[in-house]
Amino acid sequence: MIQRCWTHISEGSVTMLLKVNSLSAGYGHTEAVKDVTFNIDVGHITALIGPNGAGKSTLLKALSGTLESYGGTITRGDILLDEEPIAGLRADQLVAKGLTLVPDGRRLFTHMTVQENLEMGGFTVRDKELFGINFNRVLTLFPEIAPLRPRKAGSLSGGEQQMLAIGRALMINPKLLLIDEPSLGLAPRLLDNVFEKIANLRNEQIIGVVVVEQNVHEVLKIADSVVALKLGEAAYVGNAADLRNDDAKLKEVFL
Amino acid sequence: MEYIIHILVLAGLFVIMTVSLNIVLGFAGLPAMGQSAFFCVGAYASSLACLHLGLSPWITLCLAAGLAWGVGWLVSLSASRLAGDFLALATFGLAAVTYSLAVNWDAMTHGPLGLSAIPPFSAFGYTLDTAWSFFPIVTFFCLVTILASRRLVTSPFGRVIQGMRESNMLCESVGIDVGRFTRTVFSTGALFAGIAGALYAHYVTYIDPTSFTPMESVTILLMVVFGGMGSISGSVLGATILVVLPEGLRFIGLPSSLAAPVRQMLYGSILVALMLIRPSGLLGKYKWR
Repeated sequence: MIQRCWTHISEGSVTMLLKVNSLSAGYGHTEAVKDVTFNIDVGHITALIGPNGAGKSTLLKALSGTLESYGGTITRGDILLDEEPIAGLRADQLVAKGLTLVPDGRRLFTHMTVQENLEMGGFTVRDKELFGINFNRVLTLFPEIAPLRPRKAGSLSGGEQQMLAIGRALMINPKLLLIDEPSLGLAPRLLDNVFEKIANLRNEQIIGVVVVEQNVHEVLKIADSVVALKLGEAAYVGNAADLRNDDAKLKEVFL
Repeated sequence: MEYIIHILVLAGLFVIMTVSLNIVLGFAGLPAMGQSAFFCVGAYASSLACLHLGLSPWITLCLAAGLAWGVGWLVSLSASRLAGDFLALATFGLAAVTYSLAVNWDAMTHGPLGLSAIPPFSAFGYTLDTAWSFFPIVTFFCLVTILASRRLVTSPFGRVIQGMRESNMLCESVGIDVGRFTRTVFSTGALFAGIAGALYAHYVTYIDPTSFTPMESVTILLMVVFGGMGSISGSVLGATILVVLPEGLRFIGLPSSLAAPVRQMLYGSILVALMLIRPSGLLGKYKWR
């Protein structure tokens, strides 16, 4: 899987990883996401932003396959991962396709050790050798996790927990990583650290990352592209740099 | 002495049910309250197969365990959709329905009259109908249950179900089909309760619905919580203490009309005391919510 992802990059061109095509989703008669279209490229970090109630989390649930367990459905449109339709698959089926979610709130198996959390992350990786490769890669990306391995995950600090959660998700060597509100519950000092780690994922250039975030200024610092939602509709889809330098436009999109 | 062995046999049956419920309730965190239903299914299925088909109790024991497993699996189809308190209610409802079936399905269960003359186990030409001779059987099945459960919870399977107790969503995000694991764990718990039921029926050789009231489920639940959720040795200890302790009431000279209500009061106060003093039970890993 690693090999194949690397060749994507070496071709030099931007390769499309995920394609969301006029997607609508909601709960019952309420449509929380209306006709949203965007693409995610390999090696890009995409910020999914928008005010409260804009439909960010509904869109994320639709992408991660958890919408149905919240009583929602995808009503129209489709989602393609590497050209393959994935709309309507369950979260665990999506993991097999290389898409995984770092949930907000309960991010870790708190009763288990750090080591066990990483092992749970690689639960579906049956091949021992591949497991070892992924494991070492996670520890290279997050060297601060290594000495914590015997500790209970619940005893880690907020920043360490968030890093372990991302590390755990990387254990399946995903093509696309969805991160829900990484700043939630983190002290501002730790925030930079976590975002730096997420930015490092892009430098590795092997996966696509979607970050849902309330803290717009922070996430714009590391994002390549932006999907901004407003009342369920896409208010801005495009380059992050344009938005970063244009306060007036950011205000227009966000307010 | 015969009486003490009899109490230990009963304790053994409860150990089987408590340890297996602990897998469901303690390790996997599914608030299942239906253990008495599977106990009932096991007891009636084995007795009826024995009485009507004339099969050996050893064979009907396996049939009963299989049937309990099947019923457990059917129930788990809805269990994997229900969360938390709803699952507790649904499984408690199952216990009530099973009890009600045992009382009202006259043609099959003889209603409140119960089934009598159930053949006991026999081996090598001996009939194992006394407490003494039955004790080794119950001990054997206890050991099987304990060892199988220990094996189960230390395996990767066990780690997954302990992860499910923390968050289903988290398990799905690492690629685990939570529904499949829920069904497996639930039907495993039912299987062992079915074995306990069959053992009970062939031991006492007479069963009636009063042994299978939904309150029995609560008793078993209490044993799990008392011994400690997520601890197999805790369940062994919890079940043994809570079976033996009320029997002690006989020796302090309580009239039998009082003994039953006093037993309920004792159980009730233990539960309250546990919540206040030791929410994780004797040896438990997790707190009772």
